[in-house]
Amino acid sequence: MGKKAEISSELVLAIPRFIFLIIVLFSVVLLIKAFVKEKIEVKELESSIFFQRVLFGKGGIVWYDEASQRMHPGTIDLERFREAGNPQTQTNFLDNIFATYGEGNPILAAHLVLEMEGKPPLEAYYNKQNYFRWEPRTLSTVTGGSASVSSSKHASYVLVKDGDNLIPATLKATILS
Amino acid sequence: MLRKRGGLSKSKAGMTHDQFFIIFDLILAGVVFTSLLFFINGIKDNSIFERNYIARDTALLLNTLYAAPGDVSYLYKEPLQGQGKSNLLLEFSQGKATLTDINKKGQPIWYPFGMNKEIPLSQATFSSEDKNGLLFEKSHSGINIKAVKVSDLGQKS
Repeated sequence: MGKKAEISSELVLAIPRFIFLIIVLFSVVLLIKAFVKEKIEVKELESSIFFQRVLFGKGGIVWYDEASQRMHPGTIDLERFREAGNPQTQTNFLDNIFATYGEGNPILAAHLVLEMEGKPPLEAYYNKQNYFRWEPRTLSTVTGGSASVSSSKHASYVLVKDGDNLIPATLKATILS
Repeated sequence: MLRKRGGLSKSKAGMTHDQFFIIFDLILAGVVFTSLLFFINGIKDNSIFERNYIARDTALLLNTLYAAPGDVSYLYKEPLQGQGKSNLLLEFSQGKATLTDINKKGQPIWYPFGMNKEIPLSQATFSSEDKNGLLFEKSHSGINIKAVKVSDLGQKS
């Protein structure tokens, strides 16, 4: 066999070795990357904190007594809940004052339902536009939407301040994040 | 017929040819080994996890403070340092907790928190050189964050 032929045959034999080397290199890189944790999932915790915020936070739907200048955590001001649930508006004070995440709010959206005995349930939305946009994406049957938005349900017994009356009720929330 | 490579070649020309392949293999192994070492070293020294963690942690802490109905004082003792003791810069502004690695000058990592416009938050920037704790104080006038020495507070938390 000639020298040229010998060199070219060596080079041909080297090709599978190179391919194998690249595969091994990529495997090592992928293996290392698999063990390096960079992302931290906080969606569920964030949803839970938001629900607590709705129940206890200032500037939301919780009853604030002007006379004593104090909040009443866990007591919903019916007038403010109705204001938040105004179907005529896309945004309300929950979006613009209570918890503002900036333009478009890409973090959280919520549907709040206030159930009082003997009365029809009242509804209010936080980040209404995105709630309706994201809601279908929580379903596994939606193409390209499965699990891309997480949904969590929360509920708590509350009191509702309606004029001078305090009415026992349940506040339910579906929070998308 | 193909000749087996290695040091068993008889001819002078064959020796040169085989030596070339051996040297090439050694250089290749060296390049691969060095690049892998650089890659692992880069991962060891990067602070992406710490920046992600502190950005989320402080953003959630602020959300929790906004959720509290009364006045709150909370001492945050997590060091603003990445792996390899790289210094991090933490900034609270425009509804975001932003972490920047001072040494690496990498892309800042941020996480948003839901600002309450009735409870103003003072803009603030902190680095690991600013003592060793952050004191979050919420009162009727707003949320104020300042750097403190943990020892000065008698381990208050």
